[in-house]
Amino acid sequence: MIGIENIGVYIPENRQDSFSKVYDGKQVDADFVKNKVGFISTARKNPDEETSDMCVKAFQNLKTSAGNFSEKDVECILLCSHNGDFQMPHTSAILQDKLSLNENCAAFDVRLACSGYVYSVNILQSFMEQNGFSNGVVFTCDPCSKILNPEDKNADLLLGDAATATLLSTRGKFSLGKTTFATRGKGFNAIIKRPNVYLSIDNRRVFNFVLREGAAAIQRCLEENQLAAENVDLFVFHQASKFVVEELAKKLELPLAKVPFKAQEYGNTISSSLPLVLQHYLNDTRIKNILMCGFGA
Amino acid sequence: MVTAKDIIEVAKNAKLDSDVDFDNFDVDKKIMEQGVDSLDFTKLLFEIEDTFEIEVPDEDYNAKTWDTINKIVEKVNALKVGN
Repeated sequence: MIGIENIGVYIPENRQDSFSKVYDGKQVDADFVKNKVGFISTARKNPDEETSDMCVKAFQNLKTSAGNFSEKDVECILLCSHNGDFQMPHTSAILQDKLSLNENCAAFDVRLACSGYVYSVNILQSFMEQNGFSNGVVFTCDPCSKILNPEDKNADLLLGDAATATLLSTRGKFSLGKTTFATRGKGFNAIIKRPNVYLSIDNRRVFNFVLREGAAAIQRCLEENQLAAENVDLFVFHQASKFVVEELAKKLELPLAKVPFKAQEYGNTISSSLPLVLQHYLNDTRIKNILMCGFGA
Repeated sequence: MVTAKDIIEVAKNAKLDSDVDFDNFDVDKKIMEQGVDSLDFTKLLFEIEDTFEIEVPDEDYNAKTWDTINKIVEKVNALKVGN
């Protein structure tokens, strides 16, 4: 069975200090940043660093952590991103070249944001099983610094740049259970990037969506996997903000000790958010069941 | 009819993180000028929607038109009549 074997990460060293930010002529409130937003800094890629470059660095980190694994072993790659190197062609093809992967390697992109990791792991796992592959890599990299307005507190204080590379293989440490999905296309413009305009986020509508639809989807996921919350060792929620993660935990009456918030120093990294948390627990033998939830765009 | 007292009660039960004395809350003064931060304000509106079984329409919502307890009372009652 195909499962998650290892995760490589890349978080740019360059950080934007949240406490020093001024929006609309007002200095941000330090307590608000630390205790509510939760991001004391956000990661920012170098201006000349492309999405594919960041993925290469995540892959190099994966090779280090995975040990006996190299480029020649990769049979397929999927890159989840809304902010690839170009609008066309797909960035995963550029990545195939930069990593010198086999020319028979399948490469495709998936355009999803914060929900993207859960979808991507599902898609690549099915793709690998269908084609009898043993090694595939899910990349996530959505550097929103390309599209956010630095004057917009709603985006600038939250979003960070990062990349991850998840090795799916026949030697997986965690395999997928049944996944539950939910879509509310009516609210499409709550998070939207229109042509020639900066990214826009309506935090009130996103918050309502997460607490209503996200919480319900998690309950359904528990039911469909015949698990009680007590039987889940870890709940990995999209690190939208400390406030959102904690409010979702409260809504589901989960102990915060089981719901980690680990993005304090790099921010909400969109589709990279879940694997960046998950990597800390892959080798923890006490953890048997993990419930991951991605939500947003 | 929803009253200011009802809204204050929802705010108390919402367990907002902001340290606010809702027993001495000015219902005509801006909520966010009385110690409620923007995220708790979002949570308060969420609790109001749930409690009074209304949905704040996106086209109707503007932080300035929902910024005091009395304005919220007016809006909630109008939405309840609409329901």
